Formats: sequence, C-alpha cells, structure tokens
Amino acid sequence: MSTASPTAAKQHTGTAHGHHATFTSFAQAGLETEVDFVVVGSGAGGAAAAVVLARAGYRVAIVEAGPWRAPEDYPWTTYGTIRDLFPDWGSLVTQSRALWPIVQASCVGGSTVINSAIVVRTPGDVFTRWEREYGIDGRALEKRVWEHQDRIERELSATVVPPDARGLLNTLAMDAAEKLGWSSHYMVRYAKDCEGAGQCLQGCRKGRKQSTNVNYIPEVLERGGYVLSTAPVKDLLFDGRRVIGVTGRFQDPETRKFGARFTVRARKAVFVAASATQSPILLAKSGIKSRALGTLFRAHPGTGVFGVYDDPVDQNIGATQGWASTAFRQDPGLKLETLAIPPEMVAGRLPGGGAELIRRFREYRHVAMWVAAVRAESVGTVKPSLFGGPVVKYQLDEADMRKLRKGLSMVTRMHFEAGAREVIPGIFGLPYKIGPDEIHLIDEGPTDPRCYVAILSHLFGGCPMSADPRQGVVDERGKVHGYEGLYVADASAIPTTIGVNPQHTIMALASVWAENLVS
Amino acid sequence: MNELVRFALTAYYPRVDDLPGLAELGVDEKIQRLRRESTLLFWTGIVAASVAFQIAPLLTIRKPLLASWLSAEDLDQHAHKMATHPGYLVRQVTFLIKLVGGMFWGQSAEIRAFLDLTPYPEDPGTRRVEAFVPRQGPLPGGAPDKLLSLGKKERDRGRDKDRGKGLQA
Ligand SMILES: Cc1cc2nc3c(=O)[nH]c(=O)nc-3n(C[C@H](O)[C@H](O)[C@H](O)COP(=O)(O)OP(=O)(O)OC[C@H]3O[C@@H](n4cnc5c(N)ncnc54)[C@H](O)[C@@H]3O)c2cc1C
Ligand code: SF4
Repeated sequence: MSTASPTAAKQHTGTAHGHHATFTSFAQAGLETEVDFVVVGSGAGGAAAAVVLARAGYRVAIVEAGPWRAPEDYPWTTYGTIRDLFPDWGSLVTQSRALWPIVQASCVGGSTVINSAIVVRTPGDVFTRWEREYGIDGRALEKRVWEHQDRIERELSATVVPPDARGLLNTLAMDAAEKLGWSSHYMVRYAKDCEGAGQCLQGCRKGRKQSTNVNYIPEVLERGGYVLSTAPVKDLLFDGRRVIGVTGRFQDPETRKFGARFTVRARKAVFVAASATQSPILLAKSGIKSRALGTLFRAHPGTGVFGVYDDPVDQNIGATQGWASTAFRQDPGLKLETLAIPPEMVAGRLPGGGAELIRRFREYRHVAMWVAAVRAESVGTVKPSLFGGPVVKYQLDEADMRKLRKGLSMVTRMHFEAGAREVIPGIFGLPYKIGPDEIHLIDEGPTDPRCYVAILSHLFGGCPMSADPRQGVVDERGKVHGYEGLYVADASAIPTTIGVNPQHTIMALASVWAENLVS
Repeated sequence: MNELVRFALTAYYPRVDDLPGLAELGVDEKIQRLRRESTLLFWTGIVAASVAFQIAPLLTIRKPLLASWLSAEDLDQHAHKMATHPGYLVRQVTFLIKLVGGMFWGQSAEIRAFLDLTPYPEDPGTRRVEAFVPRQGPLPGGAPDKLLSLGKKERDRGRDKDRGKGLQA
C-alpha cells in the first residue's frame, strides 16, 4: 500500500470542538444553523466527503437520519440489529417477481457499521467502461480515485485478515481453492487487529472494524463541524436553481415520533449521500428535475450454500468474512466469498418448518456458508412510493440468473473439495441436500429468481453519473446537472456494477468530488 | 392478535428431543416486545402471515380446517409444507414467520448452550446523545485459543505472507 496522500489528515490540534445534536421533542426549540457544506448521510460516501472538506478548514454539518451508536451501543443479537441499526426494521424488498431483501443500515456510519469492511480497489476496466458508456474522463478519474484509495487504506488500517482471526470457515475455503487451483486470497479489510469475533454484521463491539462512526465522523466534530443524528432530511432548500440547505424534523429512533425542526443552510454546497435507495428519493421529493433520476439502479445480488462437514466448523468463531476469489469477476461475472451468519439467522434460513427444521438446525456447528455475488448487468428503478419511501423495481434477467446459478455450483464444488460430506443448496425444487455427484443439479437448476433466497447489499445507481444530462443525474464531478450547489457523493452516483465490494470505490469517489470543491 | 402470532411461531419451532421449543422459551414476552418495538408495517406483516398460516391447511395438507384445529402431527406437516410450498407467495409468508421465530428461538440461551455458545447479553439499545463523541480505538482483548491454534497452523503452512493480494481484483 503506497503512502501517497492527496488529502491526508494533518493532526488536528485545535480545541474548538463542534457539536453533536440529536432528537429533541416537538415542544423544544428547533435547530437552525449555517455552515460551509452540508452532507446528508454519514455512510461510506458521506463520511469520506465530509472529512475531506473538514480537513480543508471548512465548517461541515453532517445530517444523518439514524441514531449515533458507538461500539458499546451495538446490539448482540440479530433482533437488536434489525431494531437498532436497520431502517424501518429492514422491510425494504425488491418489488418484482422475487421479493429479495435490500440490506442497509441507518445510523451514524451508515452501512459501514454493519458491513464486513472488505476493501478492493476499483478495477481499471470500470473507468474504461464509464468513459465509453457515460462520457466520463476515465483515466483522470482513475488516477485520483487510486490516490485516495492509497490514503484511505492507510488511515483505516486496511489489512489482510490475520491468521489468528480466520477460523475454519475461511481456512477451509482457502484449502478448497488451492486444491482446485483457483486464484483466491484472504480478504483485506478496514480492521485494526481483528480478533475474529465474528460480529461484523451486528457492528464490531471490539472497535476493531473501522466503520466511519469511529473515525471520520468524530474527526469532523473535532475539527469544529456539526453532526445531527436522528435527523432525516425531508427537503432540500432552493434559491432558484441553487441549493442552499436542507430541512426536516428530528425523529425519535424508538417511538419514531417526529420532533423539533432542523434547518441547516450551506454557504457553498450540499452533498447528498443518503445511499442508492434514498438519495434518488430525496432528490425526487425535493423537486429535482432529471429524466435519469431513479434509473440505472443495479446491484450485486448474492446468495450462498451450506457445506456440511463431519467435524464442527463453528462458522461464527473467526472473521465474519475472511476469504474471497475475484478470479471470476470477468467471466462469468462473479465474486465468491465466505460469510458467517449467526445461529438465529440459520434457523430462519434453512428450508422447512416444524420438527424437520429443528432436526436440520442440529447440524449448525457443522455447516459453513459460502456465497456467490453476481456482477449483474440487469437494471432497475428506484422511485418514491405514495407514502414517500423508495419502491425498488429490480430483477435479474436470465443471463444474470445463470451467473448466480454458476456461482452456487462453484462454491458447492469447493465445499466438496474441502471435505464436506453434503451440501445444502437452498434452491427451491432441489433436494434438501446433495452429494458430490449431484452438483449438476445446481448447474441445471432453475433460473427463476423466486427459487432463490438472495439479498441485495451492494447497490448502485439511481442518481447515475454521466456527461449527458439525459442519461445521468450527476456529471463527472458529482454535480447535479442543471443545478448549482448540489452534489451526490454515494453509491447512487455509480452508473454500473463494479464486480468488487463497493465501499472503497464509494469513499474514494466521494473524496475526489469533495476535493474538487476544496481547491 | 398476540395469540395468533404465538401459534404460528411456535408451530415452526417446536420441541424436538432435548431441544426446547419456542413455546418454552418466553415467547409471550418476546412477542409483546416485538409488538411494542417494531414498525406498524412489520407488525402488520407478521400478523398477516400468522392469519395465512391459520387458513392455509387446505393448501398444504388438503384439510379444510384452521391450523389451530389440527392434530399435533398435522400441524407439524402443515408448517413444513407451507415453508416448502410450490407457491412463491406462500413460501414468502412463511419466510417472515421463520425470520421472527428463528430469531426468538435461535437467540435464546438454551439453544446457544446447545451450540456451545455463551448466552447473548442484553442488547443495550442505547445511543449517543452527548454533544461530543470522541474517536474510538480498539478495545482490549484477543482471539480465543481455538482461533490461535488454527492461526499457528496457518503460519506453519506459510499462509501469512500475503500483504494485500486481495486489494486488486
Ligand atoms: C451486510 C452488508 C455487508 C457489506 N459488506 C461490504 C464489504 O465488506 N465491503 C464493501 O466494500 N461493501 C460492503 N457492503 C456495501 C457497503 O456497505 C455499501 O456499498 C456502502 O456503505 C454504501 O455507501 P453509501 O454512502 O452509498 O450509503 P450508506 O453507507 O448506506 O449510508 C447512507 C446513510 O444515509 C442515511 N440517510 C438516508 N436517507 C437520509 C435522509 N433523508 N436524511 C439523512 N440521512 C439519510 C442513512 O441512514 C445511512 O446512514 C455491505 C453492505 C451490507 C448491507
Ligand atoms: S471479525 Fe470480529 S473483531 Fe474482526 S472486525 Fe469483525 S466483529 Fe470485529
């Protein structure tokens, strides 16, 4: 990892702390303030943009819909995770033939709090494609994105999962890949001294995982900025075609009741980084006119199979995700990974019900879950519903479904190489368990998305970037076409899938766009 | 309403041999809490799924009865067949029941003990309300012995040399 540093953190020595404001009731006075830049959303994109602006000496306000939960506040259980970290109890699903859950977080730190912090640099071919299909100067962007990725890797301790944190879930996968001669690796993650507590998806209570709520957001406060938590932005404020601030009402995270109003004006600009499902909605509800708004929604849908081993694997002991292969990113368009899910999730995820489900669950200690995520080409839309929330219409086409199926057959093959006695494919229409000579059942399996229990966690588009205002909402600087003072700096601006985990790309892109305004 | 939900959840997670069923694991208190804490949409979804579970035996085991009138054996069959039903919407309905029931059952101290896991502490449910929240570093601690011995094997196999191959796709 290089040490180049375009916008490095100089040690902040000032004592003028900023201010964290959170829910106040309706009866209390609201909050009104003015800053240089407002950033809506504190996840990967919002935090990365905010810290670049704050380091340049600007006064920044981060306005975040969810509450601020520090590691000591994180839940232990899946119930607590859905209650405390997911927006609306995780009820967002794709509204198409298959109802696949869309997993995101709503809290200070956004989805970085519940993700596995896997770091992969933006592949060069992504920029080539953006140049070819969206009129972006790919080479110039590539150079700057990689420079920022150098810096972020250093600041957020991007390291390979240490041997002592791996656990059998991950080492077995490496054994299998080595036997098959497939190129693979132990993951690089933003984690400092990971001890393999296996709690990444509930938030790392050990404080090892470097989600943005433990580093960049507090740094913005240290540098005199504001953080508003439990503060969902309802509207952008305009002066003609110039965006001059944001407004909304604080919302109690427990009762969901609305409280006092907040209004934050921006002297220079507003960055919207509310995620691929929320940024297009905020822009649409605020009256932004763009025919591309809500289009080019994309994802890397993923699902997995369970290998069943004679000896206990104890997948929940060791890094939640520690092994991956990107060797199949181009052909057929897949990423293979390990993924530990807690017992209570497995209890709901195994096929069947009643006594048969309990008998199946008995094998929990012996199962390991390995997943395939598709670099899908299918596109969908995100539009506001009558009630104001997002409606996501998205479904994998036949070609993408074939990739998913292929990925599942590949991880099944790996399980058998690693010594699994059976595999639970979890595909409707297939037997509950298959043996090594039945992998062809997956290869020949259904391509109907309703037969698979997949999720969407890597999301893209909705406010896509393109030089052409008819094709994109933002230009290559992240600026919304046709408006002044309004930028989008999150996954929603990415016009294609990228075939690797997106956080590093989102953070670097947001940094580049924030840096443009600094100079 | 709570009774209806209880019936569906406990049908999916019954006692089997030494593994206690959800009915024995404080399900009533858990349902009350869910009702109190979840959103209207989520609660409505789980109630609707529980209603569907009641009226669906005709679809699954071809008996024109409510699920609560079934014998224990038929009820168990009904639960299993709903979860594996050819109709996608029927399976989706059970998905919600299994998600909630699975959380209640799988998180309980008794089931965790069976898996050789310590009980989960209470979810704090707290959040930061102070005006300044400092940066946070790693808390003290280390990997358990089981991981350390696997780590030693990894090093012995030369699997500690990679300094970041995964960074590049
Ligand atoms: C379970 C899971 C595992 C993942 N693992 C990885 C991984 O290992 N590596 C990787 O690279 N990627 C991973 N991802 C994906 C990655 O986390 C996301 O791509 C990334 O966080 C998206 O960044 P974002 O800024 O677009 O949105 P988010 O990080 O989701 O942040 C958006 C924030 O905006 C807030 N917001 C929304 N609406 C409003 C509003 N109206 N007003 C104010 N605030 C608002 C939300 O509450 C949220 O906090 C994972 C995702 C999930 C869900
Ligand atoms: S595996 Fe555990 S210690 Fe490591 S980052 Fe995830 S939660 Fe933290």
